[in-house]
Amino acid sequence: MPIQIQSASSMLEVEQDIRSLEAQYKMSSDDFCAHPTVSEVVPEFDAIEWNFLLMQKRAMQEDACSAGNVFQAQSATQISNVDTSSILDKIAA
Amino acid sequence: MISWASYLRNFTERYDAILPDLLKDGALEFNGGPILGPVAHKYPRSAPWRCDWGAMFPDGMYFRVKETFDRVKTPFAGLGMRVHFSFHYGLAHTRLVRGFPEINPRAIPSPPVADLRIDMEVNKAPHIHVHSPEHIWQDSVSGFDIQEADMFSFLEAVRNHRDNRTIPLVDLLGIKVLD
Repeated sequence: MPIQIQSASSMLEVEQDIRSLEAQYKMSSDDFCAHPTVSEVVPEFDAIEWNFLLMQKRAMQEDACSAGNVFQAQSATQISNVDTSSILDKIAA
Repeated sequence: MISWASYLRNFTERYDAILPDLLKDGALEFNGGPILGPVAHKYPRSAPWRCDWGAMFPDGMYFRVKETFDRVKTPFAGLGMRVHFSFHYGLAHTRLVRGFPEINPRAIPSPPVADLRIDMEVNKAPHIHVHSPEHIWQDSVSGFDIQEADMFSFLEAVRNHRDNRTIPLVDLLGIKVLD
């Protein structure tokens, strides 16, 4: 399979992804950052995702501040939620 | 520290080298293959960037490897430093979220535990999990520097373990958990 080079997201998309994680774990990004013990309930993959989004947001803010830029929306990689059985069916076929 | 260009070149070479062996028994990659990418519009060939990649094997086991790199100094330098990673091998839950098996214990009652997961993330010191949710920290591990764990070395161990299941994954990586 090809390596997919993911296109950069817009600030809006990053914010939406952060809000999605906030809803999933019923906590705010501030809670997640400020109280390490809270992260005990966030599995590592999602903790990494969360931290990465915050890192991405910070980088975008830094760039915007340095250039006075307004970021334009770009399409994010769409990942569908399906069941692993469909993958096993494909393997079996 | 590494540049995005060097990271991508190294990743591509090692990915091409290991993929045929890794998927030889018919495994399928999640999301159609590794997702890699720098994320800033203004500096599209520099940190921060991430890698997120996994595959499912016909016996229901899967691996997922993920690592992220943050900016070092100014974006002009173009360099990234690895700040998080998680390398996982184990039984997959049937539910997929964002294209990968669910592991959130708030979403499912008993997510399968990893045979082995090696983690470093900003809120926790480097640690591993071995057939248990329990965190095993570096001071309880010998023979392996968790912080320096290499994604492709982990995947080579997964491949070798799947070739000979009698050899535990931890042994292939030289990990010894101290009592």
